[in-house]
Amino acid sequence: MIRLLVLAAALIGACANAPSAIAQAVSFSEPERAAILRFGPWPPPPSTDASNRVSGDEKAIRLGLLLFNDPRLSPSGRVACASCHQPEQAFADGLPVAVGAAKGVRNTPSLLDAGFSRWFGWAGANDTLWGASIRPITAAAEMASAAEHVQSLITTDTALSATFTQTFGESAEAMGTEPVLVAVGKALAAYQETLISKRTPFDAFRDALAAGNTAATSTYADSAKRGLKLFIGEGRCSLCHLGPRFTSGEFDDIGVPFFTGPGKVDKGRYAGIQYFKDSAFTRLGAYSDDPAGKDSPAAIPSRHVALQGRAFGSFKVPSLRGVQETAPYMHNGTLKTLPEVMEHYSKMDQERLHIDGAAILRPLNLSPQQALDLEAFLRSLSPMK
Amino acid sequence: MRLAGLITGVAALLSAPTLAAANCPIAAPMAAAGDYQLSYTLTPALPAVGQPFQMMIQACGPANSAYTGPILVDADMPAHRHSMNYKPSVISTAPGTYVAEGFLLHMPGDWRFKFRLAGANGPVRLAHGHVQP
Repeated sequence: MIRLLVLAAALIGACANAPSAIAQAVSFSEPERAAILRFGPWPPPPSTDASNRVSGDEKAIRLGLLLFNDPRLSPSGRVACASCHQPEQAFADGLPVAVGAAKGVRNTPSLLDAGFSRWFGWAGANDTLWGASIRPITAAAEMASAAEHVQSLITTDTALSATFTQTFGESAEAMGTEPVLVAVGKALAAYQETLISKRTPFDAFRDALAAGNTAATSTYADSAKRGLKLFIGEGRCSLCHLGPRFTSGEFDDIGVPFFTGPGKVDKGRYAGIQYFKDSAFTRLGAYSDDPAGKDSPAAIPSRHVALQGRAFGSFKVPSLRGVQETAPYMHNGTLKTLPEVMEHYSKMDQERLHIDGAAILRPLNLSPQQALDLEAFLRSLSPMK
Repeated sequence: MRLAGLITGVAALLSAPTLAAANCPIAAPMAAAGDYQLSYTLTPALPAVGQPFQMMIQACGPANSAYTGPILVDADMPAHRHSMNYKPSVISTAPGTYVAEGFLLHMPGDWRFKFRLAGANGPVRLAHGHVQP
């Protein structure tokens, strides 16, 4: 009898709860809907880089793929681009910081969707993907190579030499040492431009929302919807993580320590701009193939980027597409999991932000449920397995 | 051949940018300080976040004359205490008209365009709000 009463009470309770559960279904206001639509469509239309004459060229893409996986680009014969940018790890490596010829100080960023960037790397030291491909080849802690070694490899390997000549219409021997290094960077870039992340559950939801397809929008998990609402609302995440790639493509200080050892700091964007301004491998230099040269519209940000004090300790706002696959997180890989990222933003130490830094960030003080919802949304930015 | 050259010349003239001086005083100034006033338009008119854009400026000085001195331009987000990551460049295209290039607003929200003119008695600062969607 008691059991029957309990069951009846449970049923009454369930019925009583039903309307409120429906009332709690996640809905979006018109401004929220507009904000969500700005995260797509995905993928963007294909584009090529005018500063790279072999951008989009099939022969260059094939050559770039060969070179990307070839450890002989490094004099030790042990470090290829793919050593750190591993295809099965979303073109990252799963390590806190990269380990090439030596242990580095920054986390390996994924190369997926890299072709859509304006600035490359955590510090934005390059304004082209080909320039960003040359930098690790010659960096002491990465491949520790040199233009002479690269030219020697191409000229002495029969298959590489033939593919190189077919791609650039000139042999590596005749081209000259530094131009060969640049050509290799451009072939590597042509390949990397093809690395575009797949559509995600969020993209299906976003497109259904755009089409007014309520049946399709209902298949997107409520927890992800609540997380999305937080992301574009009180969390203010979309101030920096915006657009189809969920990044402004610019740089910010989010209170992650930038000390790399006793008395050593990673200057971040500040050092990136210094490197860029000294580099010959930019949209503003002689190696750009853009017919408009430094007057190209694509070079406007390169011409006007300013070295400002607040760039010190700032790092690139990463894309959030595929974020589930690219742990650990932050420029130095100190946050191992997405829950740790939630924790960082929830209990942010504002003392760590620069005194002259942007007054945007504040501790989100997320409830456990909010943290789970935000994480559910972020996980929906990765393709379904 | 000579006719073709003439046609080309006329076409070039017709397509050349207008070099008219600023029409002072400005009917609806967007910013004013003392004897100085200015207005501007953006190209594209509604730039997206992260998209570089140009600013076409008309500036007037004392006695409703076209301003011909230097102009420095910048933009910031007062509530966030940060400016742009870029420094625009400015060229004068005619008396009182300027084109500024290199703007890029990297965040949605309330921005402020700031202008510094060289007044007779020192710098003249003007500003105008801009909401970036």
